[in-house]
Amino acid sequence: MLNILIENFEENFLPPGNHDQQDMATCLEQEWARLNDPDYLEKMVIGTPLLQWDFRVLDQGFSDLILPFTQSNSFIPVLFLHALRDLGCDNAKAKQAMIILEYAYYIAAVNDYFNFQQVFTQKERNLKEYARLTQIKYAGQYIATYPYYLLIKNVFEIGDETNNKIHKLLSDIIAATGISRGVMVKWSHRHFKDVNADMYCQNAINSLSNFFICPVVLAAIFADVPAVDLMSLKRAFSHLTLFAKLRAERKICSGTLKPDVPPVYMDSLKVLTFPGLPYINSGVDLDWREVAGETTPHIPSMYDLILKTLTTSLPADGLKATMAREEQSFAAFLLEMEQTGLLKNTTDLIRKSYKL
Amino acid sequence: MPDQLRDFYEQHIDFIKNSIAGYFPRMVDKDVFEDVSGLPELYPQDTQAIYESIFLPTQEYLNRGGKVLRPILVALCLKAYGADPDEFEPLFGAIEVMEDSSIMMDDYIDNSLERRNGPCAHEIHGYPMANISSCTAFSIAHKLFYNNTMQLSPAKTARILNAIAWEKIQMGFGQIMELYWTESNINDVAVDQYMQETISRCAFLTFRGPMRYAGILADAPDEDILRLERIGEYMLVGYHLKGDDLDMSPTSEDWGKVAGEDITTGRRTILINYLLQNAPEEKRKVLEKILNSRTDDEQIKRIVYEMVLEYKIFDYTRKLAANYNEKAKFEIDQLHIPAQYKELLHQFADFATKKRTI
Repeated sequence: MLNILIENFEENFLPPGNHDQQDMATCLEQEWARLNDPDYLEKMVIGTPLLQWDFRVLDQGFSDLILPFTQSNSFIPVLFLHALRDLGCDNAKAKQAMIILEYAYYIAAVNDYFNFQQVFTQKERNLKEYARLTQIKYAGQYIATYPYYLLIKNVFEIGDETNNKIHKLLSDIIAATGISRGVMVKWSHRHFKDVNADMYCQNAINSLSNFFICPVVLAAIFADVPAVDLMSLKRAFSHLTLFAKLRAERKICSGTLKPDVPPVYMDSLKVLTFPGLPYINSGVDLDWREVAGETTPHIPSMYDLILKTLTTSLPADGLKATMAREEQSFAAFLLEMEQTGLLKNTTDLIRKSYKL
Repeated sequence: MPDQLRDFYEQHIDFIKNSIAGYFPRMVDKDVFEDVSGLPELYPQDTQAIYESIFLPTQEYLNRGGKVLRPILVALCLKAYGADPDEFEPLFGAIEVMEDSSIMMDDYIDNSLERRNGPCAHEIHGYPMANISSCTAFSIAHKLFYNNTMQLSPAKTARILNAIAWEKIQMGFGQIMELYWTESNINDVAVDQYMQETISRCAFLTFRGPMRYAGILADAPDEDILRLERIGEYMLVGYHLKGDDLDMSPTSEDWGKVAGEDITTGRRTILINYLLQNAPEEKRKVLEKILNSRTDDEQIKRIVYEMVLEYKIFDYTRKLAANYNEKAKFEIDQLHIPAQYKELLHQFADFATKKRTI
C-alpha cells in the first residue's frame, strides 16, 4: 500500500534494474515455507516442547486463515531497502528485517479487519461469527510475533544495544498504531464531534507510523545513526506521513485515487484514505442515522457516507485548508531532512515521486 | 493461604499495590504519549480519547483488584537471590498491567460476561475497543524494559527483551492451537498436547515469565534461571488445572466468573478431553453435541458436569495437578537459595494448585 501513498512509486522506487521487489518476493516465499515447517519451527522459533506440539494447526488453523492477508504487498520493505543503501548499510543480514516489516503490515490488516466488522455494532451476540473472527485475529497475532525469532537468534548479527533499539522501535509503533485505532473508534462513537484539525493530524500520523517512520528508523538503527538524528528522522517522516495521508484523502474525495486491494484489506485501506481532514474542514453536518449501528457506529459505513457527501460537494475553503496543511507538512519534511543531512537519495526520490 | 506465605504477602502487598497504582497512567499528556510511542507529538492530540480508549479499560480491571500473585512471586524470587524489591519498583506494576490487559483478551476470546465480579471489558466498551485496548495496553505494559526505566545494562536488557519476544511467540502459537481445537471441534487432543498448549499460551505470566525476569534481574546463576522457568511451568499446570476445575464447579465466591464457560465456548480443557477419550460412545456423542452447540443453558451444561462426576474426572485432574506440583517442589529444592525461600516457594506451589483463596 505504500505505492498508494507515494505517487509514481513503481517508476521511481522500482525502476528497471532494481531487484528489491524480487528480493522481497524471494525472502517472503522462503519465510512462508519456514513458517509452515515443523522442523524449522522447533529448531528456530518455538523450540523443543516440554511435552508435545500439535502441528496439525499449521494447515488447518493457521495458514488457511492468514493466507488472504499475505496477498497484498505493503512495499514498506522497498523503502527500508532504499534507506539501508542510502545509509551505507546494505548488507544481506540487515535486509532480512523486511520480514518483520511485512508481517507487521499483515497483522495491522488483520486487526483492522476484526475491528471494523459490522457484527460488533449489532445488539444480538453472534458467538459463531465472533469465534471465526477471533480465530483469524489470533492467527494474525502469531504471525506478528513469529519474525521476532530473527532477533532472538541474532540472525542480523547485531550487538545488544542495536537489538534493544529495534525491540523498542517495534513496540513504539505497535503503541502508536494501536492508540490511533482506539482514538478513531472513540471519535466514531461521537460522530467525530469536537475533533479539530490538529488532533486529527496527529492521529493520522500515528495511524500510518508503520509505513514511513518504522522502515526508515529501522534502517537508521542498523546504520547506527545517533539518537538525536533518529529523533529528527522521526519528526521528518512524521511530517511526510501526514503529507502523504492528506494527499490520499484529498485524492479519494476528488475521485482521482481508485486503489485496488484484496477484499480483506478494504478496512486498512479505509484507515489509510479516511477523508477526515476534508470532512473536518468542510463544516458539513452529516445525518449519521443511516450508519448508526444498533450499538455503535460502523466505521466503514461512516467512511462511505463522508466520501459520498464530499465527492459531490467539497467546499472550496475546506479544500484550500487541507492543501495548505499538505504543503506545510512537505516543507517541514524537507527542512528536517536538510538539517539531518541524512538519506539524501531517498529524500530526492520522494520529491521526484511527488513531482515537488 | 499457608502461614509463612501469608506473612510474606502481607509484608509486601502495600508496596506492590503502590507500584501498580503508580505504573499505568491515569491521564495522558504529551509526555505520556511520547514515553509510550517514542514518537514526537507534532500536534496537540485528543489525550482524553487516548486515555478512554487505551488506558481506561485496563485501569477498570486493575481497580477491581486481583490476588496479585505474580508480583508477589516476583518479590519472593528477587529476595531469594538477595535482591531488594525496592530497586525494581516499577516491575510489579508492569507485571500486573501485563496480566490485566491480557485477561481482557482472554475474556473476549471466550465471550465471557464477567471478570472479577464486574462486566468484561468487551461488554462495556465493545469487542473492537477491547481488542485495541488489550493489545495496545499489553505492549505499553512492557515499557519499563523497552525504555530501560530501571537502567539495566544492554546485555541484561537484551536478554529480557528477547525472552519477552520468545514468550509472545509461544503465546501466539499456543493460542492458535487452542482456537483450532475449539473451532474445528477436535476430539483427539493428547494430554501432553493440551498441557503444552496451556504452557505456551499462559506461561508468559503464569509463572515462568515473572520467575525468569526476577532471576535475571537478581543475577541468579544461569542454571537457576532455567530451573525457575521450569518451576514456573510446572506450577502453571497445577494452577491451570485448578482453574479448569473451578470453571466447572466454583467453590468460592471469589471466583469472579460465570461457571461452565468452558462448556459454552466448546473449549477442549483437560476435563473435557479426558471425558471425550474415556466416556462410552453414546455419552461421548452427547458430550460432543453439547460442546458443538456452544450452549449457555444451565440445565444442559449440568449434563456435562454430571458426566465429570460420574467418571471421576476431578480425581484425575487433581492427581495430575499434584504430580506437577511435586515436580515443581523437586526443582525448587535444587535452587541455590536459602531454605526459608524454598519453603515459601513450596507454599506458593501448594497455594496455586490447591486453594487460590487468600
